[in-house]
Amino acid sequence: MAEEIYEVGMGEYMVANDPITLVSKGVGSCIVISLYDRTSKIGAMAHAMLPKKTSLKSNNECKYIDIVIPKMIDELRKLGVDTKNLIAKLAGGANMFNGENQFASSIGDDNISHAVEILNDFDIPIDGESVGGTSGRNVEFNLTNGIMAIVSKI
Amino acid sequence: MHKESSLNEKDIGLINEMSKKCSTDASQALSVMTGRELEVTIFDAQNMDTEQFSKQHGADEIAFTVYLEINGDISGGIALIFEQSSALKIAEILLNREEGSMKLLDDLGRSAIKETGNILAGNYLATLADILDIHVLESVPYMAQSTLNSALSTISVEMSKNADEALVLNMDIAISGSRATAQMLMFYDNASAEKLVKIIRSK
Repeated sequence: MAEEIYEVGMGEYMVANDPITLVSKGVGSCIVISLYDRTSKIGAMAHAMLPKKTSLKSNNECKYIDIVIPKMIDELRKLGVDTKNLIAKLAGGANMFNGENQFASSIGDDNISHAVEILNDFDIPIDGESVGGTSGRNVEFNLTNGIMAIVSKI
Repeated sequence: MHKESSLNEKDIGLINEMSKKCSTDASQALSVMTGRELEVTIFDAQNMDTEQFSKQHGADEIAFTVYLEINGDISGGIALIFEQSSALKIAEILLNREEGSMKLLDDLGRSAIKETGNILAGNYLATLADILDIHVLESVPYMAQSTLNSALSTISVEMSKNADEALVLNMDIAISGSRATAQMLMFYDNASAEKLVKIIRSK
């Protein structure tokens, strides 16, 4: 069966199964979170922008890590995935505007720590990560084998 | 999709007109600095979801992006984007190096590009503050050397902390006698864009 490729844009998530590859391009301070069940080869990937939902009214709550991770888990459960089988991978959280003038915002670091915290709350182990740094990333998550490939141009 | 902004086409037109004056002043400052004439092309402002503009404006190619945060009576940001080849050409002009001699941007070259961004943004904002008689504070310039889409996505994230949408002004600046160009993107959150329109109307 031919592999299909779907792009997961900023503030979006997708739940899919083998033989699909999920792709997120131009990941800067955002964080990409993948969840994968090796047994069923069902997984999900989110391209989250911010750690927590605030009081600000938003049209898209999936851009928040604390909303999108439980949402993905819920949908995976509905597809019959046992959450005990899930492993997670993380990519992103870069501090793009760095150098001698330290960017006041620490959103990249905040995204990494919050994603780790929520995954810990759900007892989902983090199997691999490519986080931090000052370069953007393109991410490809292959649901046939659970490999998350990272390309970073510098 | 729900639009939270109450800006209409006429409002955006007013902001466009004001932006023309600001960008002309900004490019004149760079013209003095480089000793070259500059050509400025201004595209119509667009109101867009913060998630969308990095997708629309950001290629998956290496660029130097200089970003300044704007605070004071209005809040937002201003980004100056230099493709790698343009950054090298501009650095050669500013550092009086032979054309084609720079293959990589060294520390001095990076500093020249950051300063170019700072001058363009600073003069743009100075004219804006002067015309509207408002108080505008700009941050120090920050620079990213990475793919443009990842740099712009980071700016999207910063903007999305305050609003779902931003008004994006887009202009190209070309240095004559050289193929060097820069792109300037200006972002206001919607509350600031509406505030700007109110001030412009009252003038």
